[in-house]
Amino acid sequence: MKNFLIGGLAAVLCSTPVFAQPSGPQRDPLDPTSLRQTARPASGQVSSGNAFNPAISAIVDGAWYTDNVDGEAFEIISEADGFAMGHGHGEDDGHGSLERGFNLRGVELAMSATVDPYFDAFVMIFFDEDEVELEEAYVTSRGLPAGLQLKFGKFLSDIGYINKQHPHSWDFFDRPLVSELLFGDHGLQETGVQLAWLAPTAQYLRLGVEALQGETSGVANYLGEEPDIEGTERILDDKAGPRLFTGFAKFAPDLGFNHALQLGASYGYSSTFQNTIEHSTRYEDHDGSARFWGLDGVYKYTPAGSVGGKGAFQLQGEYFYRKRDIDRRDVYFDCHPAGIDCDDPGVQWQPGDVRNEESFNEKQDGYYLQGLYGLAPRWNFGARVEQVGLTNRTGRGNGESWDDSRRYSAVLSFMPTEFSRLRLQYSRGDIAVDGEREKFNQVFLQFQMSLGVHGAHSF
Amino acid sequence: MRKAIIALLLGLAALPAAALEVAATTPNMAMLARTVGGEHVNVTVLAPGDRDIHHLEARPSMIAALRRTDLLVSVGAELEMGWLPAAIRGAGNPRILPGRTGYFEAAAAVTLLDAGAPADRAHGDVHPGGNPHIYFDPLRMGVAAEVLAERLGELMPAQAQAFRQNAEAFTARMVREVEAWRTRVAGGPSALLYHKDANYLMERLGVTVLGYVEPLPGIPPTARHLHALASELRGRDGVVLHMIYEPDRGPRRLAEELGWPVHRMQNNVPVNGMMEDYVALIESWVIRLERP
Repeated sequence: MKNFLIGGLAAVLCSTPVFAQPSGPQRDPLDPTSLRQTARPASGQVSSGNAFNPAISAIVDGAWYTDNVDGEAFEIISEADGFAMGHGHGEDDGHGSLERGFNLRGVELAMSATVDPYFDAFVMIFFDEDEVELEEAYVTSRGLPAGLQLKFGKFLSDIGYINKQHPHSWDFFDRPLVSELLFGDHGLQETGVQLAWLAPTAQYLRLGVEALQGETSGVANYLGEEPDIEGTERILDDKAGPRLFTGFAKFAPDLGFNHALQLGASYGYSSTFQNTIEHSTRYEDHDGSARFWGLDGVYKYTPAGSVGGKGAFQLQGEYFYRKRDIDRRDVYFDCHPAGIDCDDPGVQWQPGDVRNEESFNEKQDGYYLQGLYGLAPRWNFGARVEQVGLTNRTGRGNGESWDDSRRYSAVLSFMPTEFSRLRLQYSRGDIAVDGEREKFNQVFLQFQMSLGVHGAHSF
Repeated sequence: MRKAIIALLLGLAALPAAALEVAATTPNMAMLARTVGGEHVNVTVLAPGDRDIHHLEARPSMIAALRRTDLLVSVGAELEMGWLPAAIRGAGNPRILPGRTGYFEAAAAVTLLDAGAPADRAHGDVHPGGNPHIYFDPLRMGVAAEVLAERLGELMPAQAQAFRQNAEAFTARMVREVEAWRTRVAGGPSALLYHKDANYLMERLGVTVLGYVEPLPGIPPTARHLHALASELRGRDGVVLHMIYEPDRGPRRLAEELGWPVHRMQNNVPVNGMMEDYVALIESWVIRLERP
């Protein structure tokens, strides 16, 4: 009976006719005992990891780039109405900015290892041709009970979905506008501490809070104290950190093996938002606070028996809203009007004079929505729609409402193996700059290579 | 009323100790855990057998399962390295960290084929620690079952004896079956595999592996490689075997050129599979390798 059952099951598993020929050498008697691994590793793990060295990987990221606005597309984006606002931003060090032609965006060097029985550590350093930047350097706890996990160091915040991803994990060449313009060139990347809790439920529920130093340009720009001018104090003062606090929740119902859905919500409060704009004769100082909230969702479909990602589908979107409450106070550092002698009776303002004391708020938001589809094994196609400034009010002076900015992108990726990727992306920008619509086209041809042992990515 | 409460309390006291929560990366590993653990384990499968385990991602549902797990049973030897470490990291469950009692790798219990390959990706997606696909060898699965029984016994000492007996029964069954299978495939065709995974089974059955459709592990077939294989193997007798999730274009082309049959195969039992399903799985391969 048993054999009959097995035969039946086997017959179901096989459904094409059987041919057979003689051949095949006959070897070894049946001896399971010799198969037992006598020198079993103490870690219980078979690994190619080499002794005490951390797992090291380097990701080389380069692109050929062109646009139809003399290479100014990145600058246009950084001037988007409502978001630029005379930022003391100055130098443009975003990883996204490219010259027309060949570019080496940079090399990400990642190292990870277990420190001791209590901690794991991860370090990522970013090199480009001119500079070295510490992207992340953090430690996570290994042994906290009750599903708790502690992380400290410099890390990418868990708010939203894409914020935590490194550029090599993105499905498009560039960071979504909403992330770049509301937070900054690196998203929300801060030094601080995070405590997260994973609920012991069948459905995935993760809650977390972060206390961060507060240096992110879009929500927590920090300058510290500026010296008095002719005895007049500036409103910019030193503030001790942590100045930025966030909370996030992620929920993922169990939808079986073929579907995965994760929904998230996040909130942040920054006790300090400082900025200064240098005019010809006065500093315009801003000091205030900021808060933001966002919703994010990602859905992934992986069909059974999918070959090389063919037929797989992914939909991902995020919305963020940011509000800044700002006190403004200008202080003259030179006689005004500019260019005339300070003894001149025409001088209206002397160094140390205060002007333009006001309080106002600024409200901005944005979203992106992107889809990705596996056209063929190792090939996928994606499209992204973005809009920022659906709400776009600045309060300086009499207050102003600004137009929104948009970008549309299409991408085709080919992954020869999981260690390399070629990507062709087209983007159409439609950015509001000084009330005008600035439109441009961009083409990126990107290559990414991953060398060495790169750790598994989270969802 | 009071009687009812007393009866209820007595009933609760009589309940067996709670079952161990076991998470298995693949249905084969879940089969092993169920076979050894019997009624004392509750087994969750992280990934079904209908997809390529090399290329999964750490999904939230896996992390949620690992959060509550007492014992994680994986194939190991870096087969699941693309996603399992991230899932373990996300789960915040110190019991299942590598090196702890709650982390079990079947590959660590047995000797591995192809160990010591150079750690150079010019040779494809190689595993220098050894070929991880040990679930294709029924006898190695027997050894893994016995080591798993020791591990389960550490977690639930009262049942250690039962676990050991279950594992021994599994091994004995595999030894018996393998003997019969070897006889059946003797004199049958040789095999051309897609990936270097079922070579464990071929070695066990005494079937010659003529080559692999992939030029290098993890690298899809190229026209040149297929052409070279075809000219090398022309005139010989064989059968082309590939997994359901592997592209069938290369295998079909080769089979056509060589005049051999080509079959789409499974490498895992169903998600709820038991020992009989595993025997049936190996049977499904034996049937393809028998002399007609």
